[in-house]
Formats: sequence, structure tokens, C-alpha cells
Amino acid sequence: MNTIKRLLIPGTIVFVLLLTAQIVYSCQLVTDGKALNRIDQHIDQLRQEVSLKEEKVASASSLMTIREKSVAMGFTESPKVMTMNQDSFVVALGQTR
Amino acid sequence: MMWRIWSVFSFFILCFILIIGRLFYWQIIEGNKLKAEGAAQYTMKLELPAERGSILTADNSPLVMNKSAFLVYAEPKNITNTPTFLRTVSQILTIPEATLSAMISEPNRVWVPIAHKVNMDKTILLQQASMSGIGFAKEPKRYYPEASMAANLLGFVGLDQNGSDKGYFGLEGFYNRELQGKSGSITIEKDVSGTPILIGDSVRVEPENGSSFHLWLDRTIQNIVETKLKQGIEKYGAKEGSVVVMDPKTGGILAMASYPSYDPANYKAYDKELYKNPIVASSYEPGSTFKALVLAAAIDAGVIKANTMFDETGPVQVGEYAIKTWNDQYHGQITMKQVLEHSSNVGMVFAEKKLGEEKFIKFIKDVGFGTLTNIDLEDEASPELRTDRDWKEIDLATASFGQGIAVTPLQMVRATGAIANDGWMMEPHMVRSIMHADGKTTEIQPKKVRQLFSKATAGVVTEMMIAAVDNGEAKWAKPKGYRIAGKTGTAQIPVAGHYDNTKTIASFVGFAPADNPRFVMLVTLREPSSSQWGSETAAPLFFNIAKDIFLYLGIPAQ
Repeated sequence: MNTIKRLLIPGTIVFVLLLTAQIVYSCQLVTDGKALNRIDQHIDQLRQEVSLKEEKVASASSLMTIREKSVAMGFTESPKVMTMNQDSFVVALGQTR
Repeated sequence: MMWRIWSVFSFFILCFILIIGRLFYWQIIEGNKLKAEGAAQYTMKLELPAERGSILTADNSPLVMNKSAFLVYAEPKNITNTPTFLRTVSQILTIPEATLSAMISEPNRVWVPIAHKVNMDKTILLQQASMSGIGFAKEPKRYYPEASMAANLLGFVGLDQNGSDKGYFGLEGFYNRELQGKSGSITIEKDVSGTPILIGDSVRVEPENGSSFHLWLDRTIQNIVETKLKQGIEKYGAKEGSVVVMDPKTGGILAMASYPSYDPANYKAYDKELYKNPIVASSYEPGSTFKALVLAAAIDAGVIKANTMFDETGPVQVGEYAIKTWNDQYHGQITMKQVLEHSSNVGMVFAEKKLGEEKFIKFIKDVGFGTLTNIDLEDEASPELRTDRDWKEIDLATASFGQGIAVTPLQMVRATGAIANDGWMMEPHMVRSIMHADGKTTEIQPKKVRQLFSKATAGVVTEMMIAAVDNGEAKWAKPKGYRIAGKTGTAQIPVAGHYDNTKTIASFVGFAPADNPRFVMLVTLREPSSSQWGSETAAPLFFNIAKDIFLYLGIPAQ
């Protein structure tokens, strides 16, 4: 009888401890689940921001925007373009002799 | 006494059979359904959408990319204040309140999609309204930073019969599978509040994002072409027009534009006829632009030379038909070079007769007429070529000056590209490389189709085409100091079995700089009203575009 008592008390204590550990661990996992959710949401948000930035860069560097900006800054399309071929230079530009 | 025992025993047996039957029903017949319903309560499956790939120009600027957008949906059972919900959503999404009300009032609906691909600004406004019963799911949409530029070759993204994104026409249609990628999913166990349980089972299938495509298309040349084409169509009063610019050495398409066109971001607002790319899907008779190719075939066969003399005294009789020159003027003794300069139909019949029926028909096939060019665009179609035995003497005669034979503008520019590329005809291509989601890149190598004529012949014909530009009808429009090889064309349009004298397709095909060609270009204008001649409409437009391309590529005048 005493032997049974001696085994029952520590066994009960171990059982209660294990049960408590299990509950604490499970609760922590729930918290981790919430944290994981938050991380996922943060990743989503960052991805969205990157995508918005990419969109803004593409929009700002489009030819249409560049044209509008250049017109607003006073640039005009040159009506006459003159090109010079090296063979037709009248003086030897940048030549040593 | 015994019957009572038997009655009770039978009653228990019956009950047992009923229980077994019921268990069989729930576990075997309804088992899978119940399992699924149960799983739906303790697991959640989220779709991980694959991102559609982008399409980039040669300088890595996006022509099409993805933009953040959302599916806005309602959960009618969670709506606490219906009038406020209806008023707010109606104002922001511009949907009539009555329509919204009907959507959320349908019985037994727990989830109602309200609007697809709603842009970011409107979504933020809805989120700020802090209403219950409204939800958002990512649903990216296509964004075109250059607006409607290159619409005809890009195509657009619409919905298929399942409501999923699908590319139609152009590159979006041709490369739909590669662009769209493959959606993934995540299945995870959840608790009563919907939070994932980490120790539970979870299955994650990663999405495979779509590949991005890097084109040969040069954004600046495309812009030059589109701007000048629109101005040209207005100036010459043409109904339609198109321009295609190709690198003759690689077959890479540097620019491709048609007008009228459409806006791929708002494609539903346009006539469906505009969706097709006329450069690859519509046919026309090339007219005199075909003459240089026929002369090249005859020179390569050794039956004529550039200085072979021909006596142009008057119309030539072919069967019951008399073939005249375009202006009914005849120049007596002229060389083949002058035949091209004067664009003499009579002289072309002479060259065709010298070449012979068999060789001429073979050449038409070799040059790629009647077969697809295999360009990577969805809507390519090729007009049928008549069978060998259907060619009559008059058909061959008219074909020598580009009438009675139909081609697509792309077939024509590819064939002319062979003169600019030492006789080698290249396969035209839009895509230069494919960038896969895993970071690997697949380069698409230029592909030679066949050598139409020798390098020497190509050189001779190039000089003949340069002379045709310098001494031909369009010499007034040519930019000074540049050697440009080209040929004008004015083809009548066949209407109900005969040619309409008042309706023409004016065109100009050429390449430059002639000694080291950087591009081959074809300009076509349908029914120009200021003048019906290619030399007065398509040719000046060609030179106008070429001038800007020279400047952009840094090619100086000599």
C-alpha cells in the first residue's frame, strides 16, 4: 500500500507538470501562430509597397512623362538637324598633326 | 412466451440493421462529403496567385507590368449597417445602390464578389471606411506605363470562361502560358478564431510566377514610328496605315505600329476589328515594292544583269490583256536598273519571261509568300498562294510587278530584308530573351530561314534600289547625305473581283544605311486621299521616320 502511495504521488506530480508544460507549450504555439500571421501580413505589405514603387518608377520614366516634363521645361523639337562627318571637317579637330 | 422472446430479439436485430445501414450511409456514401465539410471547418486553403510576367523593351523599360488591384467582396451576414454599406460602396465604386442591394440581398449568399480589379486608391478609401462585411483579395491587373504604345503587338489580358486572366492577341496571347505562371496554395489547420495552428498539418504548394519577356523592340524607335505614322495618316488623308521596322541581320522587330489602334487597358471600349495586328494578320498586294525582289531572282539566275537592255516601246500584250506602265509613258532602250527607277511594269514582264515560269513560281514560294513567317505573335495569318497549275500566263505577268498576289506586310519586309542581309532571309522575332521566375534566362538566337540569292546579287540589287531612290519619283523627299535603298509601291485594291481605280494602297519598302543596313522598314497607307501614289505619300513618310531613326542611332550624313 505504501509502495503504491510512494509511486502515486510523484506520478501525479509528473503528470500535472507534463500537463502544465503541454498547456504552456500549446499556448506559446498559438502566440507563434499569431506572430506568423503578423509576419505574413508584413511581407504582403512590403511586397505591395515594392510593387507600388516599381509602378511609380515605370510611370515616371515612360516616354510620355519625359515628353511632358521636357515640354514643360521649355525644350522643343529641333526643326533642323545638322550632322558632321569626320571626313568633312574643314580643320583637323583633335589631331596631332 | 417464446414469441415474445423472438419479438424482442427481432426488434433488436432490426434496430441493429438500421444502425448499420445508417452508419453505412454516413461513412461510406456521405463519407467524403462530410470529411470535406469537416476539413473546411478546421483547415483553410489560401490560393497563392502567380504573378504574370512583364514585357520589356530592348532598354529594359516595361511595356506591360502588374499593378496592385483588389477584388472587393461582401459577406452579407456580417454587414451590420446595410444603408451605410450601400451608400459608401456605391459612392466609391460608382455602382448603383439598387444593383449593390440586389447583390447582397440574394438568399443563402455568404460571399458576393462586388467588383474585380479595383485600383489601390479606391481600395484604401473602402478600407478607411471601416465597414463590417466587406473584404479584399489581391487581384493584380495589367499596367501599361507607355499607355497604348505597341498595343497591336502586345495584345491584352481578359478573362476566360472560368473568370481567370487570359492573354488574347499579340504577345499576351502567344506567350499566355509562359506569362501567367502557375498558382500555388497553402492548406493549414486553424483554430476557432481562424488563426493558423503551427503544430497542425499544413501543405504548401509554391506558386510559379510567370516568365518575363525581353523584346527586340526599341522604345524610342517605336515612339518615333507611332508619332510619325499618326501625323502621316492625317497629312495624307489615309484610312489606315502601318509601319514595321526590322533588323535585317537578326530578324528582330525594332518597331511595329498600326493606326487606328486601341488602348489595351480599356480594350472593351474599342471595335473588336482593331484587336488584330494588320501587319501580321491582313494582306495586301505589294505592287511595285515586289519588283526589286523579282529582279534579284532574275539576276541571281543569271538571265539578266543590271545593265541588260530592254526596249520599252509600248504596252506589252499578254494573252488578251495589254500591260502598260503606270503613267503610260515609254522610254525606249533602258537598262534593268532604269526599269526599277521608272518602275516599269512592261520591263518587269520582260524580266519575268526571262526567268521562266518554273523558277518564278519557285522563287515566290522561297520568298515565303503563302506561308507563315513564324513570328511569335498570336494573330499571324498568311494569304493563300495559288497552286502551281493555277498560275496562268497573265497571273505570272502581273505578279512580276506585285499585282494579283497577296502578302502580309511582315512577309514583305522579311523578304526585302534578305537584300539587306547578303541574300539571307531571317525569321522575324519579337522576343530576344525569356527571363524565367527562377532567375534563369533563355536567349532566343536569330534564325536564318534560307539564302534567297547570293551576296553579289544582293549587292547589285542594293545599288539598283539606291538608284531607284536617288532618281525615282520620290527623290525629292529623301534626306540628303544618306544612301537609302528602297522602292515605292502603289497597288490597286481588288473589290468584288475587279480593281478599283480610285482606291490604292501606297507603300514604300527600303533599308538604310544601304552599305551597312541597321534597319529595313515598310510603310503602307491604305487609300490615301491627298495622292494615290506611294511616291507622294508612303515614301515621304518613310524618309521622315528614317531621318529621326538616323538621329537616334547616331548615323551621320555623308
